[in-house]
Amino acid sequence: MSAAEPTVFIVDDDPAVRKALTRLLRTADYRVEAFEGAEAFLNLYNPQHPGCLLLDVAMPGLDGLALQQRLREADACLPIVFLTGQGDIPASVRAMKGGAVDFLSKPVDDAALFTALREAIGLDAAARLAREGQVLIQRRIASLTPRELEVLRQVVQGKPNKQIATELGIAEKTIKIHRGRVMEKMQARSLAELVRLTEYAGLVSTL
Amino acid sequence: MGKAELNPGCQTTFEWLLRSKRISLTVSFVLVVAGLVLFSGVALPVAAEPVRTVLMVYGESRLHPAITILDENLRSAVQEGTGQPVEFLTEFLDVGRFSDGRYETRLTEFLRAKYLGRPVDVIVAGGPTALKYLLRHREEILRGTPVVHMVVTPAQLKALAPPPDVVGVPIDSDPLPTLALALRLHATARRLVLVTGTSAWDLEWEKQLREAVPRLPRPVEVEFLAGLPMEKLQARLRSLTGDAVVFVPTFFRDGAGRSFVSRDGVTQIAQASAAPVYVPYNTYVGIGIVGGYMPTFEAIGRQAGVIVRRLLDGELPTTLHLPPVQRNDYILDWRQLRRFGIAEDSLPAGSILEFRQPSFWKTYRWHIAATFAVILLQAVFIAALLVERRLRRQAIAELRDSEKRMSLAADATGVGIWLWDIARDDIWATAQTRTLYGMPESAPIDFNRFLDTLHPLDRGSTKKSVDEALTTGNDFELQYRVVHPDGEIRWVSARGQVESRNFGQPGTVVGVSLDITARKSAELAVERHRNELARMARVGLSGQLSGAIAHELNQPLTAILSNAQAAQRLMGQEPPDLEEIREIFKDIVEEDQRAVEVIRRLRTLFNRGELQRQPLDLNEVTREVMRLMHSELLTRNVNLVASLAEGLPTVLGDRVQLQQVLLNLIVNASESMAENEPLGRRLTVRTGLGGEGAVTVEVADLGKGVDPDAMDSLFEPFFTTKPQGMGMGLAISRSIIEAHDGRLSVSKNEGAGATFRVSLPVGEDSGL
Repeated sequence: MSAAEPTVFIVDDDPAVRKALTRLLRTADYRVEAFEGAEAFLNLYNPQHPGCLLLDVAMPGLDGLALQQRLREADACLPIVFLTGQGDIPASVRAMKGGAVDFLSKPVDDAALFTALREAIGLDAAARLAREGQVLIQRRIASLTPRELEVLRQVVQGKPNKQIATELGIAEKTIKIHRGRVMEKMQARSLAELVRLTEYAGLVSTL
Repeated sequence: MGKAELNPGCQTTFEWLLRSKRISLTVSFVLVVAGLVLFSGVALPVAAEPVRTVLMVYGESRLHPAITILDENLRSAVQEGTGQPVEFLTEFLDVGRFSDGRYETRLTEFLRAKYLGRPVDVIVAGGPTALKYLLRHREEILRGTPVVHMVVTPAQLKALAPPPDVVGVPIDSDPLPTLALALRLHATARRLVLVTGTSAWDLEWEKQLREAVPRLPRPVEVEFLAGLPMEKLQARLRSLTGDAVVFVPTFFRDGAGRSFVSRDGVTQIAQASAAPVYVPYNTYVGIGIVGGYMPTFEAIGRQAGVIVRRLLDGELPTTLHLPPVQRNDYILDWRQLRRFGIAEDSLPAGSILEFRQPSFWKTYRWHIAATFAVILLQAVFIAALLVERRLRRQAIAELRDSEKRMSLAADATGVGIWLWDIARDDIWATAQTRTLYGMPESAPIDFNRFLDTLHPLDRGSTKKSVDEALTTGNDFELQYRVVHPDGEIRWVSARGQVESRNFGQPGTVVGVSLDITARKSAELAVERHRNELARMARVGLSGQLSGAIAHELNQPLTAILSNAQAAQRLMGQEPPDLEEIREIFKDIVEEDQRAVEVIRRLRTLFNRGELQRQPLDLNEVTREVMRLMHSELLTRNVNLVASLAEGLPTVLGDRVQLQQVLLNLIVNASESMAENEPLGRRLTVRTGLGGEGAVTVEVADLGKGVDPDAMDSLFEPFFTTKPQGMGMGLAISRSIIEAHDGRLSVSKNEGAGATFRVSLPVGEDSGL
């Protein structure tokens, strides 16, 4: 669990714009860090730090869309709000396809900007929570013995104990014991919850 | 010049200061160049350009010759190719001599106070001492400012481990090239003698040499004379035979613990040695050593200057792609080459020879040549006088005939002849002349009467040109409108020649006048036509650029809106932060001015029809276009590299039309690279002097290039390679440039792409 406060990372090559946006966001009590380019941001960015990106599309060197691509490749899913100086439709399509939260035109009104940033930070928080949940369940799955894992895989496929016993070549009574242990270790109160947990962890296919 | 003892880290680098002859020559040359740069800076002030600041930091005290050379070369490299005003501030830390910690603390406090609120764009660390100091204190003095270092060896750099925004090219201290040179120049040498002392730095060198030995280009017997007392060392060196070469890097202390100024130590070693001696520092050249592969301060200063300029141009320290080390020069002592019988043509290409003693013919070449020339000239002069006397007699007779013939011919072709006696202000004119100017056949004419016949708008310029011709004595050629008594307007071209009476005073002006109304109206029609075409093309171009224009305007508007909304919010707080709000208003005003500037630039480009010729600084015209194209190129991912030669003479031209041509060439160039990888989209704009009094602008791309077969049709109307192009851009561009008496040409680049070259004649009243 990261203790850091959510931060808006501004990346814009124009110093005046950068300064004005930083100022505006600070008056609204956002934590802000501003960078003059994509490279500068990538050099200092810590993926553990929650928040969102406020990103200019056209920049010298690595531009906004390229940075989005770079983050996606690195599996860093920081939500992005794009700012653009010109109504560039192909760029906006690419940005939204790449998972941008919003694509705003400069000059940007504070209300629209805050709405987009709130949404982005919310998305980030939700995604982080979800990832933490996944990690938790993965840890529970890791605590199972190989036999219990085998039983779990059969159970979530909806097979009755009897069939599992036949397939694994052990007594039905033993299966029941394993099954009880699985429920306990996975902290599931019902079969439905067990199925949901394993699906949530995204691990059904790997079981 | 006394030699100051520096701290050990710097002895290596500042050891080679003392080549006084070369230094003083270079310094005076550099001063002249710097003076010129300064002068042209005064003559062509660039308005509204922000002054960039470079802070030079040296670890030593002032007045080191090496520092002077470094500094001057760095500055001239920074100024080259940029019109941006750059201010240089300099600090001499002198930390080598005041080494106690309190001095450093106080110095840092002082510098922090000094640079508080004084932005610096780039810091230059001149030497390892300065670099070491800056790595410790930069964050306190000038937080986050990039540092360019110079005169630092790779080993020192490795020990200091600077962060990525501290950049520079280390000097090459590898002894191997010098050793290889020695073995190559002495092909019969079978023994390599390596001499080292016992100081920390001597030992460091010994280590480096031992590492170099296995890499020698051919097998030789290696003998280390390490840590011997001076007398023993000298005895061994005296006994060396012709099959040996000696290398000595530094010699600060001998085996008996005696300290030397390294150069003196090396001098004693070189004097004792029977074999040729090689060294890695050019301070030692001239004391009896042959030479070596060494860095020069000129090259080091220039290299650092180029890096500073690139940083000022907006490149990031992390993406500079600098060479791993500075290239050195082979520097050799000519007298030593003769002593050891080394032929000059066996030296590596580009070697620098010092102390060359020229032969008698070379020394007195000009005296001898001048003597012969004087004798020859006298003979020619006497012969010419004899011939001239005969010719003059013939000429007087012929002149009478020719006058008669010319007057007849003049009347027949409509040419009017006239003669103006200036002292009496009386103009004699042929009947043809009076007809041309609509004047009665017999009334006397003076200069004012002549001016009265002209169109009121042409009187001022005509009088000015005539006055000028009288002052300078030059010929003149004028075109003006004459208004006849019936109101008819005729264009007349007049050509006059000022003839001096005596003492340089103009006596008479003789001249001819010709009616050129027919030719002139055709010219005017063509010009109107061209202006119309140019305007159309501009409108087209403005459509292409509208995205970029929007972006260019949106930046300041964004800053203004966000600032204003921030201020609104601050006003709502209790208590409002008035200081911050004041800052915000200041920023809003600044950004508003920026927006106004964008609009002004666009208006001058798109909103005018009339052709206006005026003296122009082509660099200024080019810069304006580059500013206008900045966003457009950014959007297209094109990397613009500008190389503008300073001090170019002005050209006479129409600012808007020339900008239009450049815009067109730049748009074409960036479109030609649209299919390249983003890294391969480099566009180079160069200005410079072409031959024959021409100023040139070149636009080079890395695009598909020009099909050699299409080369000629490229400039024809309706020729296009672009699916949505009209094919008018280059045709109009060429017609604009030709209307300026210039040329627009294209050539294939050696690598990829093509270069378009605009060449314009130097303006007549150019200041240079």
